[in-house]
Amino acid sequence: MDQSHVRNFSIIAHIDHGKSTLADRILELTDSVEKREMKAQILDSMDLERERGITIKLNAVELVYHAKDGQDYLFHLIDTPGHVDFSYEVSRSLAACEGAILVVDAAQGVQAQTMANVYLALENDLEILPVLNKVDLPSAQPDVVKAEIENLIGLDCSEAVEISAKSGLNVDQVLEEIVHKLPAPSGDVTKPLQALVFDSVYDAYKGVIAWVSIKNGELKVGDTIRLMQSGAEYLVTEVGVRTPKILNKEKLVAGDVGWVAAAIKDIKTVRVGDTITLADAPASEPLAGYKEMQPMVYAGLYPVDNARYDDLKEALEKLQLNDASLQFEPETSQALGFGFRCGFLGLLHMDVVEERLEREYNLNLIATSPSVIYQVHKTDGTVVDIDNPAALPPMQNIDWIEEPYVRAEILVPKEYVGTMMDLCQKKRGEYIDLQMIDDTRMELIYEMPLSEVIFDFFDRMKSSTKGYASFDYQFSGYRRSALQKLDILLNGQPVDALSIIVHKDFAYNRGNAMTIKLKDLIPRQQFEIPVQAAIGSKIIARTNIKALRKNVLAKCYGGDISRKKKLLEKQKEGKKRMKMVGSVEIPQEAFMAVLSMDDDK
Amino acid sequence: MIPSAYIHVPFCSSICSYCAFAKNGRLDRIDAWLDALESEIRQTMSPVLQKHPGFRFETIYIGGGTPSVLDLEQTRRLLSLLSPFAYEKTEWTIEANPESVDRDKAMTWREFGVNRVSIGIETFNADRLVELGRAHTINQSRRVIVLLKECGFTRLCADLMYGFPGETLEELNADIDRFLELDISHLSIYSLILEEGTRLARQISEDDLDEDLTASMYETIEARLKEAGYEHYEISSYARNADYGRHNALIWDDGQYYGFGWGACGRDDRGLYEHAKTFAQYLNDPMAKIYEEEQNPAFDALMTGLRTKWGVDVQAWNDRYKDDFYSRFGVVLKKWNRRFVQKNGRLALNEDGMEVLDSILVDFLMAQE
Repeated sequence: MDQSHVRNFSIIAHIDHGKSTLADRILELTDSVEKREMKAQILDSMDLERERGITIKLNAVELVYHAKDGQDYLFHLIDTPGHVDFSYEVSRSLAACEGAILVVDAAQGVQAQTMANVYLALENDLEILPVLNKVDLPSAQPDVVKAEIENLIGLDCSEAVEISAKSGLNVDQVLEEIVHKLPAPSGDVTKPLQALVFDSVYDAYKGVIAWVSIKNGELKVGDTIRLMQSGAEYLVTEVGVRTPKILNKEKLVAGDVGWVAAAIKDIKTVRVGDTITLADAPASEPLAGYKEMQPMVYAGLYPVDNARYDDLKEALEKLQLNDASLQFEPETSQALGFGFRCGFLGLLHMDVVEERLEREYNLNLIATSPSVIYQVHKTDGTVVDIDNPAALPPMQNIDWIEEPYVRAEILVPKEYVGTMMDLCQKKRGEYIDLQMIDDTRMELIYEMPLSEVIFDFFDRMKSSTKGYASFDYQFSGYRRSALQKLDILLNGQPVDALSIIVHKDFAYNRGNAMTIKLKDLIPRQQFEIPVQAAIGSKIIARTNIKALRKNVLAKCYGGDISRKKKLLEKQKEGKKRMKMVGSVEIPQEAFMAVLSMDDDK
Repeated sequence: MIPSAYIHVPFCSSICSYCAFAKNGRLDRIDAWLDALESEIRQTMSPVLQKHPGFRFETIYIGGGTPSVLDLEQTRRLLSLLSPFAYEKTEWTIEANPESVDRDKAMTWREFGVNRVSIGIETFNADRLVELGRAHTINQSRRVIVLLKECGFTRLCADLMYGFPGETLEELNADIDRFLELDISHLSIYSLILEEGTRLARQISEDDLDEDLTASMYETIEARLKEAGYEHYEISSYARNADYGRHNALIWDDGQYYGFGWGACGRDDRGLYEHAKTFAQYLNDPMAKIYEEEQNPAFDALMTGLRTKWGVDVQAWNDRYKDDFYSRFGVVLKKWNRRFVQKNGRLALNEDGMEVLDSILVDFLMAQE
């Protein structure tokens, strides 16, 4: 099809504003999916995405739209995640597009990630089409929200379509707008091939499958391609698109968005952001890639069964293909054995990676509590980056420690401003600014330590504002803080994987909360286990896990055997997920205790 | 040949708050149930009798529910289904509640060959009885024991429950005094357990039960009953003068047994089985059996065998399950070595071991993988 009839676009939105539902309707209206195959969130192919109702991975589909002008248009729709942790995925999708549909909930209005995503789209020079969703809700205020978009973001909303993605109302108008308002790609088929790799997955039969947006030239089966960053060359075995069924094609040309397979077994040679060109007629320059996203949160991942270290390594490598923001390197813990220190964009990202490793690779994992990167200025004048509390040098060798701060922008209804400010203060936040957005909402800006934000800030923000506040944050710099390492001792032995770095003023409370939480999480064992929290050699909190005295002492007659055995089987499954550290059996969740404890206790 | 039979009587005049067994309160369905039960017993036992004329059970156990809610005529009908398979050495037990036993019923039991009665007394604290939803009074508990003795029953058993929310050791000790006064040969003791789906589980939570206190209660009961001449021969069973419950002892020793009636569980060469899920389905097809999906008889043998002071016959286990016990479970024995005793080729738990049997069993399960 002529390139002037191609439209490449993404849908961007704050989480839950109806992005995936709109994608579903677009698929239906373009007859891409037969009714009997249609299910909600059809582009979200991971079980995890459907269960949580969120999009984690970007997804690209090719659709044919028969427009009102009588002509057919080829759409490449790239669905994107909405959560702040996955903004990297969003920026990758956007680089493959010329336009974006901005979905805003007509009842909730502009939220923090609406703005963050718009800025990303603008950085990529995309044309943005604002759309108001959920206008059929009784609480919808499309006009108020339009004014908000104009004021806050500066987008003209006079022609914004008002839709209900759920019922399908006016979605046909959105398709027409895509045809008339979004630009066609402007690539040149005759130029040397430049294909931007924006995602990749590993297939057991086909090897690495790279998702590409063809910016110039064409790519055929039988071509020898070169990955410009790694220099690796491969013979193309298959190319195609997803409609959303996987469909093979003879070639992809400038303006197309599709996939390429070339029997690539060495997964390290394909990096997302790289440019593919032809070996015998290479482009002179690679396309601008993406700015590498730096992980914000680090945690150790260990197999419960040490023998599965290599499996974990292989799984991480495969997952990284599909999730370029994931970083990892080997580390060793006295308590947990051999594992990996992994870098994540945020806690949700960490959670998703852990769950994908467990589900897709059938691994049983222990994750340690997450940490940020501390810059440790030592007395000998050197500076070291520490992403694992256990690796902190002895205090006498430390001059001072700096920790990462973020600028948090919080949109919050007026009546919750006070509550929100309290929360930010508790999290060691420094007040920067407070501005009216409109009659009902304000924008609150704080500088806060990242370590406080990643813990339970999001949950607390949601619960203390009935879900009305939203926030986004950016790294703002390192600051000096009075930080200390808090060690946990079980049965008198320090457990390195349980160490955390805390602010001096919080050390006592955290230590106390940790020991109480661990006492709850670690089951009673044959002997009494002291649980202690220590700063250096000073014990600051202590409790005991009493020795096991009795189990359930019920009758067991013939009819009880099956039922009782099922209960024991369940206990066994729980026990398989425990790690033996010294002589103490510790359940997985204990290593994350710091995330679930209540400081206020 | 299967030496034992369990018959489940799934009827109660009132439902106790803690009970998770199959039962219902529709006493008007007893006759239809007896029809189905008769059909099940006939169809099951005819081929056995053909092959082994004169076959008799070693033990018969009629449990429930509340077998004593059957009226005299229904009782006669039930017992006459079983009496052809009993002889003078058969241990024949029936469970009863204090409020539904009278002289005529007790004499009918005797007449048919029942020689052991297990009475659901539970406690002598009147307030607790009300809390539990029991339908009897403490006077009825005392009177039924006297009555059964007068009727000539020498083998009597009473249930004693402990570990109620808020119960103190003083309260328990007073309760033990009352049970000892009954002067009977067997006591079954067990702690209050919150079973999913019961009324009690909706009223209170695990947090209302004090784990350490119930452990102390268990130990108190053990000490006091031993002092009174009872032998602690199984986790929840005490006997005087070696008056062990043979029926359950056979089950614990890896035995097989028929399960008759809706709610009954049995064990044959194919494994553990239950009947149809609903009462109506049972009436429709009393012979339907549902076998356990994931069977693990080698483990069942340990789970039940280690409950008794006699423990598990290791050689018999090796022969039956084609395995080597000590090499498979060496790690478990080592970990819990102070809680095991080995004697005459049998492996058993000592008193400390019995208290934490579940933890030890989980380790056996792990070692099986």
